[in-house]
Amino acid sequence: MADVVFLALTAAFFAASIALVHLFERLREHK
Amino acid sequence: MTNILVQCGLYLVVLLALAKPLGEFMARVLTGDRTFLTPVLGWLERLTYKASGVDPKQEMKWTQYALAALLFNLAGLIAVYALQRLQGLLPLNPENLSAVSADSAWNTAVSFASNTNWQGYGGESTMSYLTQMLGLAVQNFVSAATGLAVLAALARAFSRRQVATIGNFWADLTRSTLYILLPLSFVLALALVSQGVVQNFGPYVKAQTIEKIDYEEKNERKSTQEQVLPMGPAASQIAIKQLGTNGGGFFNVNSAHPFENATPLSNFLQVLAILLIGAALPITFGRMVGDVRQGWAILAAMTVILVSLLGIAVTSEQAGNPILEKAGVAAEGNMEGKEVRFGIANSALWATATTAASNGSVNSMHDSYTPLGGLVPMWLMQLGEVVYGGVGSGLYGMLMFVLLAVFVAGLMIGRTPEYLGKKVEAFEVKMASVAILLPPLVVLVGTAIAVLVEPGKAGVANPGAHGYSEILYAFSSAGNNNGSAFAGLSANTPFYNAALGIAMLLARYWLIIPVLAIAGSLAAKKTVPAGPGTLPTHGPLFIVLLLGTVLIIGALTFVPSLALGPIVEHFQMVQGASR
Repeated sequence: MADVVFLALTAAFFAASIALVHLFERLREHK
Repeated sequence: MTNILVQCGLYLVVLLALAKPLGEFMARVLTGDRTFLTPVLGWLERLTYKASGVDPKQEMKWTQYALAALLFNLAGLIAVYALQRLQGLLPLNPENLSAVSADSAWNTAVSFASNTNWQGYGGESTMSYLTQMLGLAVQNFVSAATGLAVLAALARAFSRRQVATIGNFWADLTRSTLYILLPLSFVLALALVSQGVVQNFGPYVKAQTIEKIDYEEKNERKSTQEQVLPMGPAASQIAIKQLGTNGGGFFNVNSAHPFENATPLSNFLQVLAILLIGAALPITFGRMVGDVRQGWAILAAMTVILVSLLGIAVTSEQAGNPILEKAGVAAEGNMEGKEVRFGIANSALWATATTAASNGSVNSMHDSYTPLGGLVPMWLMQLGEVVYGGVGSGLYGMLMFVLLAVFVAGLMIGRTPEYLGKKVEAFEVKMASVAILLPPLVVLVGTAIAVLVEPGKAGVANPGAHGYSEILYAFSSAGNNNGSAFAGLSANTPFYNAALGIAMLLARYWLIIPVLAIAGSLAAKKTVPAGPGTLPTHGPLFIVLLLGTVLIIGALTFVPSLALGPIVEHFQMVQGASR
């Protein structure tokens, strides 16, 4: 169970990081 | 005092003397030029590309570069986690060590993937040889190479004009590992073995002690004449741990362990290795942007901060604890928590170097330093580890301060700021602000939560200001990817493993993203020629401006928090001595 929690936390963080990349790119394009 | 000056002076002279040749060599590697190592390792580079299906000439936009870096690090993180959880079933485990607990394994996996190497576990009692070598040591290489790759992309962006791409992550990663980190580590590992650092696959050795040792276990007094001596492939891991500014010890007490740091010479080589690549990278940057004076200016600013804070650490430790002196029980200086074989100068020098870089290895226990002696490593981390700093990350962190400094200078004279011919506009300043402000946010919010909740307070070994310092130090270390511990704090708990793990993730990857976004933005810009209104960024005026920017932001952000910890503890110590 703990493995699933930590792997889900990791996946969520990296998914948020990828979203951040796209967010910053949109900011750059619309500056 | 002469002895201290000679030792610290010799260290700085050797470090700065090596910075230029190594910096120029790394510039050739990162620009893809031929070096003296190409005939030796070129085939391995080509084989790596072929085996992984990478075309090193395929250029990437900053978004592609960032995604490649993120996914590569994610894969590494999961591999290290799996190795720890399955180590009981895997080979190279002569002590039959069982699986690491889920929270500790996750914390360690995050820690090594993010180049932090915070260790909530004891190496010799937790990790099999396979986990140490295939998991931790491999991450030591590739996490450092990730930092070098990001820096290379940023430096390239300054020298490019109106292009959408910043290089190829896989090529930068491969070249950094093969031509920079592996050869240096190989040479250092051999030197360490020559000094007595262990390197073997044998089981732990049981030795007979000359005298009987009394100890207590589960409230029962026992005695023994047997001592277990841990073994393992330590030297190869220690070499990259120092060169890659990783810092994770093979053994629990890190570089205070005689099998990890055996002699004064091994100590000198290791402390040199901690700052070696970081000190050389400004020269690399200068070469890559076509004006090496820019690199020297940044190196000068870094060196001024390092030498100043080293002076405070050494004099504080040399002055010792006046309460103990008054009681007549202390020798000259503060030797608590220090190895007698290294003494005060080499301990304080190491503590300063390891926190100036994002290294985090220790050869003395920082928890036992005087309040001001302990403040120095804490503040060096809180400055963002930009004083030489981590491999790659130190310089790209400092370049964020450089952008802010030229922005402030531009505001003063009413011109659009420029750096190296690139106009610094709103987007770059916003991204630099994110990169500069995120670590303090992580550190301060993390500390605030930990001092408020029971699981956070439960880990503290000392009451009052010192206990607060232990928590602040832990989050400063994790929130700046350092990895050193103040000790005293029992951090191998689900709360600290999770909280510090999240801090390490944010501090590493949410800094890399805005840095690469700046790289993408700068590469797409025109280069404007320097005019009469351009601020020269290679002279003393700019060095002072940069120093002011780093120190004022560091002071404004952290002095209130430091006042609750080491500063108040210093006054308590002075007051105690005057009673």
